[in-house]
Amino acid sequence: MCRVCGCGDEPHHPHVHARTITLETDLLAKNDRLAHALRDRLTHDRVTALNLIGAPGAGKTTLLEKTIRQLADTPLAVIEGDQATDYDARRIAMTGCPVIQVNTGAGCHLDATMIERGLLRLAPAPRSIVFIENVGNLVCPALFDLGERAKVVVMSVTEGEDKPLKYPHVFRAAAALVLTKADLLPHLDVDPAVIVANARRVQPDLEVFPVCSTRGEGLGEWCGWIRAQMEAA
Amino acid sequence: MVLSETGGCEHERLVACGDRSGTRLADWLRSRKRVHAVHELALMESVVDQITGLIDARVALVRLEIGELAGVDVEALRFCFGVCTQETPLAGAELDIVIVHARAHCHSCGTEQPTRSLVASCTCGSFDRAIVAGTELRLKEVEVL
Repeated sequence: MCRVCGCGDEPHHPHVHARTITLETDLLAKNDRLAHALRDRLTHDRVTALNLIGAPGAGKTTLLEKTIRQLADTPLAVIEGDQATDYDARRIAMTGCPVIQVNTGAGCHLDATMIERGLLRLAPAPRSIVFIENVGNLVCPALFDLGERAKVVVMSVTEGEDKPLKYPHVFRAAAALVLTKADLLPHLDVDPAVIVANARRVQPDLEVFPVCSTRGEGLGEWCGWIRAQMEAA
Repeated sequence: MVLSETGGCEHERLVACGDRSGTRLADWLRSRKRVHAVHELALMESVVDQITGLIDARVALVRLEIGELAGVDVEALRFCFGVCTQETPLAGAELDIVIVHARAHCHSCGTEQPTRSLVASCTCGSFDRAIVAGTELRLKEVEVL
Protein backbone atom coordinates (compact mmCIF):
# COMPACT_ATOMS: atom_id res chain seq x y z
CA MET A 1 0.00 0.00 0.00
CA CYS A 2 1.18 3.51 -0.74
CA ARG A 3 2.27 5.08 2.57
CA VAL A 4 1.40 8.59 1.46
CA CYS A 5 -2.14 8.27 0.22
CA GLY A 6 -3.07 4.76 1.28
CA CYS A 7 -4.39 4.11 -2.20
CA GLY A 8 -3.45 0.46 -2.32
CA ASP A 9 -0.84 0.82 -5.10
CA GLU A 10 2.81 -0.12 -4.72
CA PRO A 11 5.11 2.55 -3.16
CA HIS A 12 6.43 3.61 -6.61
CA HIS A 13 3.09 3.91 -8.35
CA PRO A 14 2.82 6.41 -11.22
CA HIS A 15 0.28 8.90 -9.92
CA VAL A 16 1.46 12.14 -8.37
CA HIS A 17 0.60 12.81 -4.77
CA ALA A 18 -0.84 16.15 -3.88
CA ARG A 19 0.93 18.14 -1.17
CA THR A 20 -1.18 20.26 1.15
CA ILE A 21 -0.13 23.83 1.84
CA THR A 22 -1.89 25.52 4.72
CA LEU A 23 -2.66 29.17 4.07
CA GLU A 24 -5.23 30.25 6.68
CA THR A 25 -5.72 33.70 5.23
CA ASP A 26 -8.79 35.79 4.84
CA LEU A 27 -10.38 35.92 1.39
CA LEU A 28 -10.38 39.67 1.71
CA ALA A 29 -6.79 39.82 3.00
CA LYS A 30 -5.48 41.93 0.13
CA ASN A 31 -8.24 44.50 0.39
CA ASP A 32 -8.07 44.52 4.18
CA ARG A 33 -4.30 45.07 4.24
CA LEU A 34 -4.61 48.09 1.99
CA ALA A 35 -7.62 49.35 3.96
CA HIS A 36 -5.64 49.14 7.22
CA ALA A 37 -2.77 51.06 5.64
CA LEU A 38 -5.19 53.72 4.41
CA ARG A 39 -6.79 53.94 7.86
CA ASP A 40 -3.36 54.44 9.47
CA ARG A 41 -2.51 57.15 6.97
CA LEU A 42 -5.87 58.91 7.40
CA THR A 43 -5.66 58.70 11.20
CA HIS A 44 -2.13 60.11 11.10
CA ASP A 45 -3.37 63.08 9.06
CA ARG A 46 -6.50 63.34 11.23
CA VAL A 47 -8.67 62.90 8.16
CA THR A 48 -12.10 61.43 8.94
CA ALA A 49 -13.43 59.19 6.18
CA LEU A 50 -17.09 58.17 6.23
CA ASN A 51 -18.36 55.43 3.92
CA LEU A 52 -21.98 56.10 2.94
CA ILE A 53 -23.83 52.98 1.82
CA GLY A 54 -27.41 52.79 0.63
CA ALA A 55 -29.71 51.45 -2.05
CA PRO A 56 -30.05 53.36 -5.34
CA GLY A 57 -32.43 56.24 -4.75
CA ALA A 58 -32.01 56.30 -0.96
CA GLY A 59 -30.98 59.94 -1.18
CA LYS A 60 -27.24 59.63 -0.62
CA THR A 61 -26.19 62.39 -2.99
CA THR A 62 -28.89 64.83 -1.84
CA LEU A 63 -27.90 64.17 1.79
CA LEU A 64 -24.28 64.86 0.85
CA GLU A 65 -25.09 68.09 -0.98
CA LYS A 66 -26.94 69.42 2.07
CA THR A 67 -24.37 68.09 4.54
CA ILE A 68 -21.57 69.82 2.65
CA ARG A 69 -23.44 73.14 2.92
CA GLN A 70 -23.99 72.60 6.67
CA LEU A 71 -20.31 71.86 7.22
CA ALA A 72 -19.13 74.88 5.23
CA ASP A 73 -16.55 75.74 7.92
CA THR A 74 -14.79 72.37 7.59
CA PRO A 75 -12.44 71.20 4.81
CA LEU A 76 -14.27 68.45 2.93
CA ALA A 77 -13.74 66.16 -0.03
CA VAL A 78 -15.92 63.56 -1.70
CA ILE A 79 -15.25 60.29 -3.50
CA GLU A 80 -18.30 59.38 -5.58
CA GLY A 81 -18.77 55.75 -6.56
CA ASP A 82 -21.15 54.79 -9.34
CA GLN A 83 -21.22 52.10 -11.97
CA ALA A 84 -21.40 54.73 -14.70
CA THR A 85 -21.63 58.50 -15.35
CA ASP A 86 -20.27 61.44 -13.40
CA TYR A 87 -23.70 62.94 -12.68
CA ASP A 88 -23.28 62.68 -8.92
CA ALA A 89 -19.78 64.16 -8.99
CA ARG A 90 -21.11 67.11 -11.00
CA ARG A 91 -23.84 67.66 -8.40
CA ILE A 92 -21.23 67.65 -5.63
CA ALA A 93 -18.91 69.91 -7.63
CA MET A 94 -21.73 72.48 -7.78
CA THR A 95 -21.36 72.89 -4.00
CA GLY A 96 -17.70 73.85 -4.49
CA CYS A 97 -16.43 70.76 -2.69
CA PRO A 98 -13.47 68.86 -4.22
CA VAL A 99 -14.81 65.63 -5.66
CA ILE A 100 -13.61 62.66 -7.62
CA GLN A 101 -15.84 60.20 -9.43
CA VAL A 102 -14.92 56.52 -9.46
CA ASN A 103 -16.80 54.46 -12.05
CA THR A 104 -16.79 50.78 -11.21
CA GLY A 105 -18.30 49.62 -14.51
CA ALA A 106 -20.17 46.42 -13.75
CA GLY A 107 -18.55 46.32 -10.28
CA CYS A 108 -21.05 46.49 -7.45
CA HIS A 109 -18.92 48.12 -4.75
CA LEU A 110 -15.90 50.32 -4.12
CA ASP A 111 -12.76 48.61 -2.85
CA ALA A 112 -9.68 49.90 -1.04
CA THR A 113 -7.62 50.20 -4.25
CA MET A 114 -10.16 52.62 -5.71
CA ILE A 115 -10.10 54.68 -2.51
CA GLU A 116 -6.31 54.75 -2.50
CA ARG A 117 -6.31 56.14 -6.04
CA GLY A 118 -9.08 58.59 -5.21
CA LEU A 119 -7.23 59.86 -2.13
CA LEU A 120 -4.03 60.31 -4.15
CA ARG A 121 -5.82 62.63 -6.54
CA LEU A 122 -7.87 64.43 -3.88
CA ALA A 123 -5.01 64.86 -1.39
CA PRO A 124 -7.37 65.75 1.49
CA ALA A 125 -6.14 68.42 3.91
CA PRO A 126 -5.21 67.46 7.48
CA ARG A 127 -8.23 67.63 9.81
CA SER A 128 -10.67 67.30 6.93
CA ILE A 129 -13.59 64.99 6.24
CA VAL A 130 -13.74 62.67 3.24
CA PHE A 131 -17.17 61.38 2.34
CA ILE A 132 -17.18 58.21 0.28
CA GLU A 133 -20.49 57.65 -1.49
CA ASN A 134 -20.51 53.96 -2.27
CA VAL A 135 -22.21 52.36 -5.27
CA GLY A 136 -25.97 52.10 -4.68
CA ASN A 137 -26.17 48.60 -3.20
CA LEU A 138 -26.90 47.21 0.27
CA VAL A 139 -25.18 43.86 -0.22
CA CYS A 140 -21.61 43.95 -1.49
CA PRO A 141 -20.28 47.22 0.02
CA ALA A 142 -20.85 45.77 3.51
CA LEU A 143 -17.97 43.33 3.02
CA PHE A 144 -15.32 45.74 1.78
CA ASP A 145 -13.28 47.77 4.24
CA LEU A 146 -12.24 51.06 2.62
CA GLY A 147 -10.13 52.31 5.52
CA GLU A 148 -13.01 54.53 6.62
CA ARG A 149 -13.58 55.66 10.21
CA ALA A 150 -17.22 54.50 10.02
CA LYS A 151 -19.77 53.05 7.66
CA VAL A 152 -23.07 54.90 7.54
CA VAL A 153 -26.22 53.36 6.11
CA VAL A 154 -28.42 55.82 4.24
CA MET A 155 -31.97 54.50 3.97
CA SER A 156 -35.15 56.30 3.03
CA VAL A 157 -38.29 55.76 5.08
CA THR A 158 -40.04 54.63 1.89
CA GLU A 159 -37.86 51.50 1.84
CA GLY A 160 -39.96 49.90 4.57
CA GLU A 161 -39.73 48.71 8.14
CA ASP A 162 -38.16 45.34 7.41
CA LYS A 163 -35.16 46.54 5.40
CA PRO A 164 -32.64 46.13 8.27
CA LEU A 165 -33.73 42.51 8.67
CA LYS A 166 -33.53 41.81 4.94
CA TYR A 167 -30.02 43.30 4.63
CA PRO A 168 -28.51 42.65 8.07
CA HIS A 169 -24.86 42.60 6.99
CA VAL A 170 -24.69 46.25 6.08
CA PHE A 171 -26.50 47.34 9.25
CA ARG A 172 -24.22 45.14 11.33
CA ALA A 173 -21.16 46.85 9.83
CA ALA A 174 -22.49 50.38 10.30
CA ALA A 175 -22.02 52.89 13.12
CA ALA A 176 -24.89 55.14 12.07
CA LEU A 177 -28.14 55.10 10.11
CA VAL A 178 -29.47 58.19 8.36
CA LEU A 179 -33.20 57.82 7.71
CA THR A 180 -33.88 60.09 4.77
CA LYS A 181 -37.12 61.50 3.32
CA ALA A 182 -38.61 61.62 6.83
CA ASP A 183 -41.07 64.30 5.59
CA LEU A 184 -42.87 61.56 3.63
CA LEU A 185 -43.83 59.65 6.78
CA PRO A 186 -47.37 61.12 7.00
CA HIS A 187 -48.08 59.57 3.58
CA LEU A 188 -46.70 56.13 4.41
CA ASP A 189 -47.79 53.14 6.41
CA VAL A 190 -44.33 53.00 7.99
CA ASP A 191 -43.41 53.42 11.65
CA PRO A 192 -39.86 54.80 11.95
CA ALA A 193 -39.64 53.35 15.47
CA VAL A 194 -40.00 49.87 13.95
CA ILE A 195 -37.24 50.59 11.44
CA VAL A 196 -34.96 51.68 14.30
CA ALA A 197 -35.90 48.70 16.47
CA ASN A 198 -35.19 46.31 13.59
CA ALA A 199 -31.87 48.02 12.84
CA ARG A 200 -30.82 47.80 16.50
CA ARG A 201 -31.69 44.11 16.57
CA VAL A 202 -28.77 43.76 14.16
CA GLN A 203 -26.56 46.51 15.58
CA PRO A 204 -27.51 47.56 19.13
CA ASP A 205 -25.09 50.52 19.16
CA LEU A 206 -26.40 52.09 15.93
CA GLU A 207 -26.85 55.88 16.04
CA VAL A 208 -29.94 56.97 14.11
CA PHE A 209 -30.58 60.32 12.43
CA PRO A 210 -33.97 60.92 10.80
CA VAL A 211 -33.56 63.72 8.26
CA CYS A 212 -35.34 65.52 5.49
CA SER A 213 -32.44 66.62 3.31
CA THR A 214 -34.50 68.88 1.03
CA ARG A 215 -35.93 70.89 3.95
CA GLY A 216 -32.87 70.61 6.17
CA GLU A 217 -34.67 68.98 9.09
CA GLY A 218 -32.47 66.74 11.23
CA LEU A 219 -29.25 67.77 9.49
CA GLY A 220 -28.02 69.55 12.62
CA GLU A 221 -27.93 66.33 14.66
CA TRP A 222 -26.37 64.38 11.79
CA CYS A 223 -23.66 67.01 11.31
CA GLY A 224 -23.10 67.08 15.08
CA TRP A 225 -22.32 63.38 14.93
CA ILE A 226 -19.93 63.96 12.02
CA ARG A 227 -18.13 66.68 14.01
CA ALA A 228 -17.89 64.31 16.98
CA GLN A 229 -16.28 61.71 14.70
CA MET A 230 -13.80 64.36 13.61
CA GLU A 231 -12.96 65.34 17.16
CA ALA A 232 -12.41 61.69 18.08
CA ALA A 233 -10.15 61.12 15.06
CA MET B 1 -12.40 63.89 -12.59
CA VAL B 2 -13.51 60.35 -13.37
CA LEU B 3 -11.49 57.30 -12.48
CA SER B 4 -12.79 54.48 -14.58
CA GLU B 5 -12.41 50.96 -13.30
CA THR B 6 -13.96 49.37 -16.37
CA GLY B 7 -10.62 48.99 -18.14
CA GLY B 8 -8.99 47.79 -14.94
CA CYS B 9 -7.59 44.47 -13.95
CA GLU B 10 -10.75 42.64 -13.05
CA HIS B 11 -12.68 42.69 -16.28
CA GLU B 12 -9.71 42.96 -18.57
CA ARG B 13 -8.05 39.84 -17.23
CA LEU B 14 -11.23 37.87 -17.08
CA VAL B 15 -12.27 38.79 -20.59
CA ALA B 16 -8.81 37.90 -21.80
CA CYS B 17 -8.94 34.47 -20.22
CA GLY B 18 -12.59 33.90 -20.94
CA ASP B 19 -12.29 34.54 -24.70
CA ARG B 20 -15.79 35.78 -25.07
CA SER B 21 -15.08 37.94 -28.09
CA GLY B 22 -15.50 41.40 -26.70
CA THR B 23 -18.33 40.63 -24.31
CA ARG B 24 -17.56 42.23 -20.99
CA LEU B 25 -17.24 39.37 -18.59
CA ALA B 26 -19.37 40.87 -15.87
CA ASP B 27 -22.18 41.36 -18.42
CA TRP B 28 -21.77 37.79 -19.47
CA LEU B 29 -21.78 36.72 -15.84
CA ARG B 30 -24.88 38.71 -15.27
CA SER B 31 -26.64 36.92 -18.10
CA ARG B 32 -25.80 33.61 -16.46
CA LYS B 33 -26.28 34.43 -12.82
CA ARG B 34 -28.05 37.14 -10.96
CA VAL B 35 -26.24 40.43 -10.59
CA HIS B 36 -25.30 39.79 -6.95
CA ALA B 37 -22.74 37.28 -8.21
CA VAL B 38 -20.38 40.19 -8.67
CA HIS B 39 -18.96 40.47 -5.16
CA GLU B 40 -18.33 36.74 -5.20
CA LEU B 41 -16.38 37.46 -8.39
CA ALA B 42 -14.17 39.95 -6.53
CA LEU B 43 -13.66 37.47 -3.69
CA MET B 44 -12.67 34.70 -6.08
CA GLU B 45 -10.28 37.02 -7.91
CA SER B 46 -8.68 37.66 -4.55
CA VAL B 47 -8.36 33.91 -3.89
CA VAL B 48 -6.67 33.31 -7.24
CA ASP B 49 -4.34 36.30 -6.76
CA GLN B 50 -3.32 35.16 -3.29
CA ILE B 51 -2.60 31.60 -4.37
CA THR B 52 -0.73 32.47 -7.56
CA GLY B 53 1.27 35.05 -5.61
CA LEU B 54 2.38 32.49 -3.03
CA ILE B 55 2.62 29.21 -4.86
CA ASP B 56 4.47 28.35 -8.02
CA ALA B 57 2.93 24.96 -8.78
CA ARG B 58 -0.13 23.42 -10.30
CA VAL B 59 -2.99 23.49 -7.86
CA ALA B 60 -5.23 20.44 -7.52
CA LEU B 61 -7.58 21.62 -4.81
CA VAL B 62 -8.53 24.83 -3.04
CA ARG B 63 -10.25 24.60 0.31
CA LEU B 64 -12.25 27.56 1.63
CA GLU B 65 -14.06 27.98 4.92
CA ILE B 66 -17.21 30.00 4.47
CA GLY B 67 -19.45 30.94 7.36
CA GLU B 68 -23.13 30.39 6.72
CA LEU B 69 -23.75 34.03 7.70
CA ALA B 70 -20.78 35.47 5.79
CA GLY B 71 -23.03 37.14 3.25
CA VAL B 72 -21.82 35.25 0.19
CA ASP B 73 -23.59 32.87 -2.11
CA VAL B 74 -21.67 29.59 -2.21
CA GLU B 75 -23.05 28.61 -5.61
CA ALA B 76 -21.97 31.97 -7.01
CA LEU B 77 -18.50 31.42 -5.51
CA ARG B 78 -18.28 28.05 -7.27
CA PHE B 79 -19.34 29.58 -10.54
CA CYS B 80 -16.80 32.40 -10.22
CA PHE B 81 -14.04 29.93 -9.31
CA GLY B 82 -14.43 28.27 -12.68
CA VAL B 83 -14.26 31.63 -14.43
CA CYS B 84 -11.36 33.10 -12.44
CA THR B 85 -9.09 30.06 -12.61
CA GLN B 86 -9.09 29.72 -16.40
CA GLU B 87 -5.59 29.85 -17.84
CA THR B 88 -4.01 30.06 -14.39
CA PRO B 89 -2.12 27.32 -12.46
CA LEU B 90 -5.46 26.71 -10.75
CA ALA B 91 -7.28 25.72 -13.94
CA GLY B 92 -9.19 22.51 -13.43
CA ALA B 93 -8.60 22.52 -9.67
CA GLU B 94 -11.31 21.27 -7.37
CA LEU B 95 -12.99 23.75 -5.04
CA ASP B 96 -13.90 22.43 -1.61
CA ILE B 97 -16.07 24.77 0.42
CA VAL B 98 -16.40 23.92 4.11
CA ILE B 99 -19.44 25.60 5.60
CA VAL B 100 -18.94 26.94 9.13
CA HIS B 101 -22.11 26.86 11.17
CA ALA B 102 -23.00 30.03 13.00
CA ARG B 103 -22.94 30.49 16.76
CA ALA B 104 -23.88 33.48 18.87
CA HIS B 105 -22.90 34.50 22.39
CA CYS B 106 -25.76 36.14 24.26
CA HIS B 107 -24.78 39.10 26.43
CA SER B 108 -28.00 38.79 28.44
CA CYS B 109 -27.96 35.15 29.54
CA GLY B 110 -24.30 34.41 28.87
CA THR B 111 -24.87 31.27 26.80
CA GLU B 112 -23.45 30.40 23.41
CA GLN B 113 -25.88 28.80 21.00
CA PRO B 114 -26.21 27.88 17.34
CA THR B 115 -27.98 30.52 15.29
CA ARG B 116 -29.29 30.60 11.75
CA SER B 117 -29.51 34.35 11.30
CA LEU B 118 -27.84 37.65 12.16
CA VAL B 119 -31.18 38.95 13.38
CA ALA B 120 -32.58 36.05 15.37
CA SER B 121 -33.01 36.38 19.12
CA CYS B 122 -31.44 34.15 21.74
CA THR B 123 -33.67 31.46 23.27
CA CYS B 124 -33.85 33.78 26.32
CA GLY B 125 -35.49 36.41 24.08
CA SER B 126 -32.59 38.87 23.94
CA PHE B 127 -31.24 40.35 20.70
CA ASP B 128 -28.06 41.51 22.42
CA ARG B 129 -25.84 38.85 20.93
CA ALA B 130 -22.42 38.65 19.35
CA ILE B 131 -21.90 36.31 16.42
CA VAL B 132 -18.84 34.26 17.42
CA ALA B 133 -18.73 31.90 14.41
CA GLY B 134 -20.29 31.77 10.99
CA THR B 135 -18.96 34.90 9.31
CA GLU B 136 -15.68 33.34 8.13
CA LEU B 137 -14.35 33.97 4.64
CA ARG B 138 -11.11 32.02 4.83
CA LEU B 139 -8.69 30.54 2.37
CA LYS B 140 -7.83 27.46 4.37
CA GLU B 141 -5.38 25.43 2.29
CA VAL B 142 -4.47 24.25 -1.16
CA GLU B 143 -3.26 20.95 -2.50
CA VAL B 144 -0.52 21.24 -5.12
CA LEU B 145 0.86 18.66 -7.52
